[in-house]
Amino acid sequence: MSRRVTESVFLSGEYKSRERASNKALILGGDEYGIRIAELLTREGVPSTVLIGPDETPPKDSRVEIIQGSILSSSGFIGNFDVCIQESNDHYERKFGFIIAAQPAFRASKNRLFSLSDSENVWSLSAFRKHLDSGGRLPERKGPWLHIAFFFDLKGASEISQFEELLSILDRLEAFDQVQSYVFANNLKVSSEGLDAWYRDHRRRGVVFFKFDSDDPQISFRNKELVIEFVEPLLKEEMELTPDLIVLDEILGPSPSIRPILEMIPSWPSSAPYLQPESTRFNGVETQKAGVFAVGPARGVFDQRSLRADIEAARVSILQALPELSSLIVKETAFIDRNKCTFCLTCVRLCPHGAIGFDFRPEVDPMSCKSCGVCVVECPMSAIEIRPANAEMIEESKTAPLKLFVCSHSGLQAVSKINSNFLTDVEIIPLPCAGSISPNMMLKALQEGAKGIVVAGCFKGNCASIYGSTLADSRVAQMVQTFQSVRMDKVKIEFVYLAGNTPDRIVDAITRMKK
Amino acid sequence: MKKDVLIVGGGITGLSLAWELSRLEVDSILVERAPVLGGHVSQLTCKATDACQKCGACLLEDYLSKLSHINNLPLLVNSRIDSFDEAHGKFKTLVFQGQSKIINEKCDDCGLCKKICPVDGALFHAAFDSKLYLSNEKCINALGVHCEACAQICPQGAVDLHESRDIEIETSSIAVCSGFTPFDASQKPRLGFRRTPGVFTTIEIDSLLRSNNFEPVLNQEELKSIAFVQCVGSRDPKSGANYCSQICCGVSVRLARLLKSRFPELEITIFYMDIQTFERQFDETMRQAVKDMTFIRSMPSEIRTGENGRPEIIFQGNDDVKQSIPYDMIVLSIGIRPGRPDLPRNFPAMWKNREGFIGSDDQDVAAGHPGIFVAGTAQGPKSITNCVSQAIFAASRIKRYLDRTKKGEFK
Repeated sequence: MSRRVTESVFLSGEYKSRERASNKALILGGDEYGIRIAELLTREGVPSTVLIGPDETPPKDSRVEIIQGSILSSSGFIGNFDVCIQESNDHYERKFGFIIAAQPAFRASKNRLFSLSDSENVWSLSAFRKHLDSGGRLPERKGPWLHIAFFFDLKGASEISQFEELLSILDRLEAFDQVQSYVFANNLKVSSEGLDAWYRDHRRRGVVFFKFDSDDPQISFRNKELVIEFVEPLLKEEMELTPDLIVLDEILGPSPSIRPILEMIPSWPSSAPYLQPESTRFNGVETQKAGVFAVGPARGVFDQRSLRADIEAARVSILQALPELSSLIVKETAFIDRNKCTFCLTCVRLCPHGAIGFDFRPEVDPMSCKSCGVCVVECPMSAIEIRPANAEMIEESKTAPLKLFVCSHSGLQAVSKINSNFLTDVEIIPLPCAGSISPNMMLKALQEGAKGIVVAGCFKGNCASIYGSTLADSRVAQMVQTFQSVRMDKVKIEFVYLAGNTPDRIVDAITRMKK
Repeated sequence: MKKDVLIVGGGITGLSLAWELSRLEVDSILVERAPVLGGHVSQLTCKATDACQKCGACLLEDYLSKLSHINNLPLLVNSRIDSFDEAHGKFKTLVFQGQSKIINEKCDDCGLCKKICPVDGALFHAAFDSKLYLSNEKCINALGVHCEACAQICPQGAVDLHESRDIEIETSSIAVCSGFTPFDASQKPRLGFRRTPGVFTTIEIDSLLRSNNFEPVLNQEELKSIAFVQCVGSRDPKSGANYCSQICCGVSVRLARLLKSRFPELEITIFYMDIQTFERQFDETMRQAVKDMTFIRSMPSEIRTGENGRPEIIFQGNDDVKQSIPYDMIVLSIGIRPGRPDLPRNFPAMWKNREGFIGSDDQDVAAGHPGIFVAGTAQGPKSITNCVSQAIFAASRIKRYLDRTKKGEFK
């Protein structure tokens, strides 16, 4: 999360009173992780409720409140989420301060990809593990040996956690006599502690691993028997195997039940189906929207060991947010002028952080607002401004031949690395996000005598406001086109994508301008 | 000086831990032995092509700029812990801080000081800003031997030599974020590192790109083919690493894509065992990567100088036949080895996990002694983003530990 340098005490009657802010947390997903988070938070004085899916089994004794049901819809902001819950035949609304999505992973069977239907000889990895865990038996064998073929990472990438599951099944199979296991795989996923040594152990003890690059082994039925036909990868010879049992891994994904939470965030398509954008700007379990956190599968992490870090990260994030909930200091945020607003809801639909809601009129939630300024530029009525920063920014105008608009994330960091001698005739204008560059700002810069304008924002996929830099890029492109259409070719405007550690991209752009 | 937490190591983990702790209102102090903050990450290049590749190298700049707004958080460079004492759950440490430095504003990089310095590596250029730095860890003057060779020869007066000072620090907790050691590729002589011209490591290529020195290394016109060799010093029990280093697949594929975007004519080959998932759209990335470059599932048995002085790779190819292919450049994707934290001899013994790193076997941040925690690559191989995740994990645990000790639950 970024914090702007200037934080001012700015109170206004326009804000809804924060007195009614709730400090309760709703945790979605009731496996051991959901319960653990709820217990940790309750101990910190954050009353927590766990919502478990209708088809999950609730844990027997736990010290936290558990509801079995599903979310119909949710809306609101940190400290004030209204969640509509369906519980058996009843549905009702409840208020929470935080929402943590910690549902177990959704597993999709790969049977269809291999043109197989469910049969007693075809198992999924998780089902087979559960079967063995509950003391289940192995099927009847045709010969003296039972042959089991595992498929891993073929037809769709698999996760580390599934390789761990496979290895633990192989461990269990050692208790049975005369079982031969084969693993047909693309890439073995060993990038977690201990997995490579564990895999080596099994290979040494007789499990056969075949690794394929592209030619997937084919599974078919012949005389009601399963047959695997494949080209042995090392010898390049055609072979076939008739196993007694085939175990396929599954495709893992986030639970579809995060959908109502996703829909609270207008920029969700950029991260879907996950709740957290895949950007290094979002660390730990934070998402674009304040007060909403994604744990484990909801953010694309399936490794059980990493999940423990996520649980602690959820606790830290809430502990860090709690004092802000009751604080009277309000950072600079977007303000909507009621007299100008025509209720077009552009801002509501566009805010990357889901910080603008609609409650008779569009309203900005000061705690969720990251003051990126995307709404300010996009508002067709110019009814929004960031207060109080904008005023300061416009006043200090110089007459430099080159104007450099930089975002306060990557851009400013990169500029700080450039030798100041190089920037003598360049005026640097920091923006909260490149996405807040408006055509007016560029025109004003030209009016003040600028010969060239460079706008710099984060690389695609690294913008703290998701699509801020992309919006800026297209606005600059539009500007260039406009000038070209009126034959004003001398005006130089350029957009540069960069990161905090690539100052040379600015240097290059300025050098191009100076020519 | 009294603080809550002493953070050992100013790499990405230590810095992100300092930031997270400050947000939990925990007072910390950080010591780093190098003259610059950032550790290994400060050598790494941004790998964005036309879009971000999610390598996380820019997180360092992010944390440094966030931390610069925080008051009362000393980040001590050129420092090491000299002595250690524990009493009543409090840790007393004496930090020895070097005060000598190069004044970057005056330095015009003439190179005279570097020539006259009797110690190899005491003066060095940092990859991230190409400026000259003085390592107080290596400088003999900082260690107490009288030597002012560099200061006397510098025509600009840019060398500022000072006596080192001692700082007493008392904390309730210590977080060890001392990082890793990159595998020394010359330990595998058959792979030709430092023997065969044209053989580099991923870290070298990364820092050449970072400091914009890549193009001079090999003439662009001569550079037509590059091969990456995966798992050098990883997944290799014989060389002492019975584990996967977790980061190298991502590093190589991202570097390969970056090079391909800069030099579209370049032919790239990757020798590998298994490609590990390094991002969420892994399937899509690989589908694209397979179009742009060649993947060969084989581990080279030897790299030697072939005809025309180009390095060539000998490997078991299809049908189990020995093959050799020459390349213009060969990059060894080196693994992560346990770090060598510079701690006093009486520092409490910490757990060692099965991989030889500090801590337990399950990515926990406990180090095996009350009040001492471990995070980042000191605990095991990790990507930059996972280091940050574990720093948040450690911040949570440290906060809880401090709350409990204040309540008097431990004594």
